[in-house]
Amino acid sequence: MSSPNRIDRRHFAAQLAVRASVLTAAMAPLAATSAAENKPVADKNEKGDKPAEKKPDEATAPPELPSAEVILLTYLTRRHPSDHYDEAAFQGIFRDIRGDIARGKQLGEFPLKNSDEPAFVFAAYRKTEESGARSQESE
Amino acid sequence: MNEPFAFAFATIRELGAKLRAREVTSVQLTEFFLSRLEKFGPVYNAVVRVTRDLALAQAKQSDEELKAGKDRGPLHGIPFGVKDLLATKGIPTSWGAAPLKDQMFDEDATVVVLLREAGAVLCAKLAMVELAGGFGYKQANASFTGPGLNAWDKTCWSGGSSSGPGSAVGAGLVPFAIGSETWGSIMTPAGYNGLSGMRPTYGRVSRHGAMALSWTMDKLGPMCRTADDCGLVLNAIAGPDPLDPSSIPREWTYERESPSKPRRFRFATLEVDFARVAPEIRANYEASLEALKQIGSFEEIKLPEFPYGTVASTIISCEMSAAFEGFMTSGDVWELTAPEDRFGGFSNLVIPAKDYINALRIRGKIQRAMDELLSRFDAVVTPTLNTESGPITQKFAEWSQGFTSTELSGASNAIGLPGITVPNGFGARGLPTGLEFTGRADNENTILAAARAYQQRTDWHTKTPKVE
Repeated sequence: MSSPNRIDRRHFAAQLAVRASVLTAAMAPLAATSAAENKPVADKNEKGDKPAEKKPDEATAPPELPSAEVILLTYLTRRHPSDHYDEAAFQGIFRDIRGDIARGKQLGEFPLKNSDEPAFVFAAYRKTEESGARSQESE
Repeated sequence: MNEPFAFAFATIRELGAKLRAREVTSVQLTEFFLSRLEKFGPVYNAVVRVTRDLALAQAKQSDEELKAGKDRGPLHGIPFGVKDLLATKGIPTSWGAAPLKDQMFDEDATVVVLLREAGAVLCAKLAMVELAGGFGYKQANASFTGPGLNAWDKTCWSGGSSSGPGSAVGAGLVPFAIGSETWGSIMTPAGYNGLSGMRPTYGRVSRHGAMALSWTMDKLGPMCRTADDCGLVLNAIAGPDPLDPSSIPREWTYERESPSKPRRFRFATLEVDFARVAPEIRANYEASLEALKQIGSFEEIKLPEFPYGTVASTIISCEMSAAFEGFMTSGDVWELTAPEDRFGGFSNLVIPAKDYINALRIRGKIQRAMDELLSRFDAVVTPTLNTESGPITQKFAEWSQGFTSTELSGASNAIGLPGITVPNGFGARGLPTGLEFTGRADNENTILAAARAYQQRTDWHTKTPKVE
């Protein structure tokens, strides 16, 4: 299922778990998911469409989801696979994603009204004396 | 050529006067600067490529035209260099990136065309931080030409991302250069090398043919010895361009009023976080304010409450991720010089669209609030940078103190306001420090006038480094 340009998902999960110490704990659910996804289709068919039997405590406990950072890192590295990802890259990208999420949260918390439109065509703004419209005046 | 040192650090007006007085020809000037570029360019890691043949052909034409009475204006016959993110037909354009070092374009950038039409002589494609620094470099060694070295101290950084223009103009290898700024890339190298560097209003100068890092934040501008030179160069490169839909649809003319009619300026200052500012920077800044009190009034203001840096960085991150997705997914990105640049763009590929749109929405509010605030002033005056330049062997975080001490840098770049930095002294290491004037949109002439007035009262712009 892999081409020379695609990182093996099992290998990827193992890389994350083993190499990136900062991710180790967070990657456990991902590794499990990845392993499950990697099972051959035939294996899944063997189980039919029935859900797997769950132990009583599993049925009631809320599912342990990976963090948003891990989900995005997983998506990113699967969408853009590369053999170049190493521990430094994983950790760097993970930190960047965390920063991006914080940045998005800050933007989302800024008070905006429904009518606050983005400037789809950006231009430097200068209020005109008469109309208050976008400037056509010069100094 | 009996006064080479004077030529090396002469202003455009001074060189132009010598050309018109027949004291020197453009070919002689060009030979002089070509030899300096070839000798010292590698010393400072300032040059990607010297364009000797093209330059001499253009200089010869300039001389012939002047002899025939055709004078194209102040830049006629004046050598210059451009940051290597401007396309030049027949000459590789590397964007500072190893995997793109042989990249070719089939046309010249509009700025290159306009400077040719103004009679200027293209002598070099100048070094730059790879991909204009958009991949998050954290130290000086982030270009396939090596770390840009400061014109005043080769153990220190020249600044970025217009590193080559900074050190080349600073060391007298060219009289002026064109740099680009998305967020600080003209101001930083101009400040660290003791130049006068200008960031025009967004859209004032066509971006056609320039590498896009952020379509809505990239600006091209002059890096020169004086504010007056910046005005002369901007006059040649400003104006509407049908090839750049974001260019401002009206002409712009440099206005240099008579020195016999001095004007009074209305300056604003901001509360500066001096805890992050080197003592010498603070002292130079306060001395500059004293000098400016001779020509204007002052009022301390506060910027409106907005997440300026978050807006600016989100816009850059999202636009660069679209501009460079192919570069990243092709694997070329892994050939970049700085290790942190090789993966620094990836996270941007998964930023939600709504974050970008919210940044654009907030930007609109910032524009209106800032315009209302700045309409009362000719310029906001701030220290250009928190420190003089630092060692190339250290990460920026170890010495830069975050580069700037107010939120104005992020605000003005996010919304495309013009700014100019001029030298205002030296730091503890003996490297230049800078003073920045930021103006209302469209007010390039006003901040140029303020910077010129400052330079009429000081001589920091006449100081020159020892080049060897």
